[in-house]
Amino acid sequence: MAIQPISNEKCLGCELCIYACPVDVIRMDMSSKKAVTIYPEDCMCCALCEDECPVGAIYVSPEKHDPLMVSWR
Amino acid sequence: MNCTQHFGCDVLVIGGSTAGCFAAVTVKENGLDVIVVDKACSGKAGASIMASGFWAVFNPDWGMDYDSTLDWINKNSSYLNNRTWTELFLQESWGTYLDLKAWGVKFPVPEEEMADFFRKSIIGDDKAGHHKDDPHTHYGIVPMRHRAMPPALRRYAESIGVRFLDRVMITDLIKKNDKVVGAVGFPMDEDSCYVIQSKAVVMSAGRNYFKPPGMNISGQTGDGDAMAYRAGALISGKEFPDMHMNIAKDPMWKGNGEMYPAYFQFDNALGMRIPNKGFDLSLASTIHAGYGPIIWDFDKATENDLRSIHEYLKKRGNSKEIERVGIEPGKGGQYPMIGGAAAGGCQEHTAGLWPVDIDCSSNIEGLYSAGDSCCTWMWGAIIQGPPPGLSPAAITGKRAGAGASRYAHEAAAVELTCNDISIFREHAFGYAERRSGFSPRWVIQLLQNYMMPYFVLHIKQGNRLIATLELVRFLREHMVPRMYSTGTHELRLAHEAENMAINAEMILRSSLFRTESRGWHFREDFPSEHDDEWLAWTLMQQDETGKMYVRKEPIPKEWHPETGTTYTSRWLAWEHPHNIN
Repeated sequence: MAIQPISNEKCLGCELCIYACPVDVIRMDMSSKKAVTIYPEDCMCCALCEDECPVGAIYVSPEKHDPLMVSWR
Repeated sequence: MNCTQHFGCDVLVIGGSTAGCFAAVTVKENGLDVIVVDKACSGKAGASIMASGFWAVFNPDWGMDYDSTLDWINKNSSYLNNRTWTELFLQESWGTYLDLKAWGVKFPVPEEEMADFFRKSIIGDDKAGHHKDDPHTHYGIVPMRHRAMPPALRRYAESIGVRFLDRVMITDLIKKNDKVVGAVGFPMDEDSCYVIQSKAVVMSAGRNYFKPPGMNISGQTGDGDAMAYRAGALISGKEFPDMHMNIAKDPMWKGNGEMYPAYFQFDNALGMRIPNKGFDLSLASTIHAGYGPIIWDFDKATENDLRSIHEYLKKRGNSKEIERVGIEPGKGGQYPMIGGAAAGGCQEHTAGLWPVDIDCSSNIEGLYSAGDSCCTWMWGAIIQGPPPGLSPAAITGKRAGAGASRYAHEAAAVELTCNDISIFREHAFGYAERRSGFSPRWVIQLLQNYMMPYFVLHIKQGNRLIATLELVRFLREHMVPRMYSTGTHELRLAHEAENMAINAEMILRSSLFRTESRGWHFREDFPSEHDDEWLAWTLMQQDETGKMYVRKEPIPKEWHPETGTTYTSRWLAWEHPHNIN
């Protein structure tokens, strides 16, 4: 759903995707110096990160599944 | 507890999209120091990065007539437009295009061919839905390429010395001695409090939506309107909704913006074409009457439609989004549609801070607004839309930038103490200090479920508005104060939930207050326009006890329609959308 895990092999660690995301889904993993999808549940499928990535390490599918509506959380 | 970092400037701009960049450039050109702060990244994220399509302009050289265009806009606004602002659009929109060109924005059509492109693609023999009352036949459009404008705006702004703070969530305006003198917030990437002191603030943080599917407006949570409201600003409008549909199979698809202008034809489930008149209401009425689902039927596309789609996609330069969900217009196919791709949004310039003057100043000294944060009422109630938003964002941005510059030139710096900041700092980090309570994601989900149904936002009725208002009020009073967050990401979500709840209450209260139907505000229990009472704008403010109250601001008498004109004669040549059933 929505943003898929970023390819660790392809990622250059350039951070362009982090600045492209309007909703702070992607952060840097400081140990590997690669971008990771740390809050994928908040992805809004805008695909700006995919557009921005210079090496095709990101794919955003148009499907999105919200969490179940429950009594409290 | 996190440390505090201090920043200072003459003018602070909150929100770095079209309006914010125009404001910042204007301030800098006036010789002042300016900072643009954005919770995402100006030039890369946010709503304006998706703002391809059209830059609306009025240009007499293209054969447009000033008086007849103004007369058409007055009618199309159902006489709820602020005519001063409408005329500012007519007078200043072409200049904003020239600004973009000078700042290095690339356009897909050369300027010498724009008039011809405009005539052929919009006015010409096109059968794909454009007709003589289509808004785009009354003011011109400059085609824009997807993702071309915001990066160029930022590059130019930086080249002349505008400073940018990216990924910083602003939570409150700082107010001292009844003046706005800066803002408080936190960066997404470090544990810190930011205090930005300035002589003036331009609010250009954009509209509110309820993070619905599609349309790429997820960052738009009405933060600016909410923080200005908390500071005592007058907020206007909010009762004229936006909707947008999307394809049911992929509700998050963003290619709808690419395809609609070229093929905006929809049928009800019985195969009857829905008239392209007062369109959102036509759609909502169709669903309400039980004739759904609404179908986007490419089997009915003519050769002319397909040519139009092809040309349009070529100009927009974002064909990937069409491929992403596998739509191939040339092969036909029927696509059921879902509503609310932009749920909770209000029409351009019908919601936001109330500008008390054409310099975009607010009722609070030192606070200015621009873009979708500035409720100019330029397009009024809007019968046939959507109205242009981009070039008006530039116009208000330039005017707010100039107004804030004049004010900052004269204003003395205000000294801030720790005591002045403490209340705002506590608010900024209050959710992070809680270790129990409600998840901000769940609170946002609740708000979505309260507000998003068509029978709340579009086909309105008093009892339903009251019922929803009670749920939102409970959410604001009970759940919002008990939210808790872990990390800056969730802290931002918590503030967005709080801001969205304020915006929800504003939408419901202004909708309840306007006891008539006009333009895209439709009340089942008040299905007609009531000129005697409602040639008026709505204004909201927080009272001394923290409650929201609504009042009317009458429209100047000289802008009222001629005495004796009938209700139906003032609508344009189409069937009244409210009578669609």
